[in-house]
Amino acid sequence: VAILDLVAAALLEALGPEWRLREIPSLRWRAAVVPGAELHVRLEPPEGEGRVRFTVEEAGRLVSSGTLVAARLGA
Amino acid sequence: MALPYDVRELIPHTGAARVVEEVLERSGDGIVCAGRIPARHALVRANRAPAFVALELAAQAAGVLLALSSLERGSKPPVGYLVSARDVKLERAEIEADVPLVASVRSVGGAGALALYEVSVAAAGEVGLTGTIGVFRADGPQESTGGGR
Repeated sequence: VAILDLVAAALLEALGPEWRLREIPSLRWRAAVVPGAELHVRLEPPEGEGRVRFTVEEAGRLVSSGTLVAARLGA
Repeated sequence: MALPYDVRELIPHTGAARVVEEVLERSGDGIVCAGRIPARHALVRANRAPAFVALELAAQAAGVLLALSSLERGSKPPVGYLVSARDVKLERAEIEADVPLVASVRSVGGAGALALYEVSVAAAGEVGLTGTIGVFRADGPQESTGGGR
């Protein structure tokens, strides 16, 4: 879940403070990550209003991937 | 009223990382657990946590169900790893730390060592998270458990 926190922070930083995470259509944790590991989050361009695919890698190894949907606060 | 199970003996989480507290109900394919996100949890900031942290409570409740099911069959509880989440809906942006939460978990099958669970987490009777999670049993069975979605 800590990885999801990292991805959500990146997503909301990209979209702006008026957005929040609303749905997780799909998410896979593919490998364990030890504390202190350097992770790289990649967000694909939005596919629609607030819908974004992502990957998380550690030293070129895929550790998580999925799709998140954000919504404007109050929506 | 809580059932007489000690969740500390059923899942490996300790300290602020253990968010499930007790078992409220147990049925053949499901469980209802009480818990809370402690203020000293790593993802709590200004006494609030992102709503998706409730997934951790649901996953730990699924771990308790997995352990109890194994013990009832006379087997050693397997180690479970949260490996997937699907169709998760978050009805709010955040949840307050130390607020009582109730996680409901129901087994919906799986395949091999992967077990799938429909989950919901509520605070004060209001559902804040719903979805399906996948848990990989590190020393689980290799046959199909059937009924997966």
